[in-house]
Amino acid sequence: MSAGSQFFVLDVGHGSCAALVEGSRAVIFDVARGATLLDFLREMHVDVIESVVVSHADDDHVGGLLALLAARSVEVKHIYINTDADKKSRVWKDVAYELDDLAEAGRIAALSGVSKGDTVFCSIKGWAIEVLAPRHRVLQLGAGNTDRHERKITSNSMSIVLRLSRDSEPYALLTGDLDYTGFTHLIDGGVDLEAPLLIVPHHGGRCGSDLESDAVLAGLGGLSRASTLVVSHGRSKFDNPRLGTVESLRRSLPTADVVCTQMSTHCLGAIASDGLPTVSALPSAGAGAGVSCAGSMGFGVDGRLERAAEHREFVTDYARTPLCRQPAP
Amino acid sequence: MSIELDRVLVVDDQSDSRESSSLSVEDADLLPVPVEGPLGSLEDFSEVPQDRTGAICDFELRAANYANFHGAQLVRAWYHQHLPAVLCTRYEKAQLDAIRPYRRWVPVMLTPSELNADSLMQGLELALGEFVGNFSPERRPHRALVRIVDVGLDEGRAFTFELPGWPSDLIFKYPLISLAPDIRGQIAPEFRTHVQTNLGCEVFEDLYFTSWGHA
Repeated sequence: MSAGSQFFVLDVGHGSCAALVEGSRAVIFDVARGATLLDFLREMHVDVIESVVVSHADDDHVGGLLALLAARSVEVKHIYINTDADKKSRVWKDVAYELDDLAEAGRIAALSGVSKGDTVFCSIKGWAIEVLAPRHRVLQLGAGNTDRHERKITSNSMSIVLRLSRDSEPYALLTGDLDYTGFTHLIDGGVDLEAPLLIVPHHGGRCGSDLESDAVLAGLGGLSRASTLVVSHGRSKFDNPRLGTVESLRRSLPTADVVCTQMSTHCLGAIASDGLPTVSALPSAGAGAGVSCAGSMGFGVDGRLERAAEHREFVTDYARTPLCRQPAP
Repeated sequence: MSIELDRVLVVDDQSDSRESSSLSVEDADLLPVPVEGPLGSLEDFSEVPQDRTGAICDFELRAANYANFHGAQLVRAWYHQHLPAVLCTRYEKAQLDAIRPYRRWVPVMLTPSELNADSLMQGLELALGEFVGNFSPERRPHRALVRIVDVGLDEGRAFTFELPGWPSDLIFKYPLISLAPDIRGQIAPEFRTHVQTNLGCEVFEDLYFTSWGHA
């Protein structure tokens, strides 16, 4: 049923952007700043975006929404984005005003928040999108507040967590920048997180303190039982993925494939001025500077990386100390 | 794409710079044509025989009355006539702000130390591609939102603005006089409008902005 459609994770540098594409239609998950998504949509001949889901208010997840809406190169029908009164960034304010202008002008079909159990519109055959977080109580309390256990609710705690299913089988778990507080609410009362493909939260960075990060990552690993772990990160920021991130994930998923959009500084310290060759044939933010690793990636029916052989060869040839080849601790 | 050019005009108000740039042209197996001043009016000079001709041009051209226009204006005029040109300048911050209103039509800007046979040919090839609508990801125009930060009160007024969709929080400076009168009067802090910009560009110096308020 889902033949003819495909799931992608884009190399957008430090940020997140994933896409489900069938023909000229797409569903987009997070929109980092820059033009990579626009170039991708153009190359894939997408002219309608049925839904955009923005996991939370951080600039590296929502900033590109401004570019997407302003570009007018595709029609955007539904936007799912939660409020965040605690986010004081200028970009967030720009998003609020721009969405309002467009809604007033009737240029967006629907604009809504979303919490656990809600529906995200997707008519792409064979695919379903479950909203697993945030819980209603987290949304209602809001960023800046504390929960019953006095844990601070942040923008990251409110990350929308989605599970995509393909032909009624779990396919991918998208976790935004989920932190420890968000994770505890996600799993409270039990939840099925199984999916062969896990987009690692927070670009492979911290999900709280060291202990909290370990709990989140090992927990997501164990509950997802993923066979492919994707880290969407920018080489020039934060030295992601953290060594601790990979270790925590490896403990619960010792044999999973780890794939990064860009070459981590842990894997290769210095890159020659002419940069690395590109594995990906898709628009990738790191391609220009030659810092992509897997770059923008397409995934197969089983949630495995399509160009896995090319990626393996690339890592062998260029990564001095590849994190994706580190044995389980 | 193969480039079919025979010669490259070398426009610079300094004769030793013309000589130095000419060496790069020769290294690229093309014939350098150093242009001695004065150049006359922009309108007259920019209309040169275009067949199989490219150009390298400095930004500052006013020494010894070499020209009464600057290099970015000239490269823009050539762009409109599909003559591929590279701007070569030791730009400093103030020049960058003066050049930016023209960057849409200046596909490549190099410093003298960056200029060599390869960078010259790549630059000319880039320009030729744009003439037929083939833009690199770094140069492709996109409609984008900008938000005004502040407006200067000094002579030669400039305003500053942010480009929220670009992966950096840097603030840009732009001369108010470069805007069309209808939009110029609306520029004020927090004002939002749309422009055409090369959003895929990663380098601050290479960003261009056009079609203010009409994108």
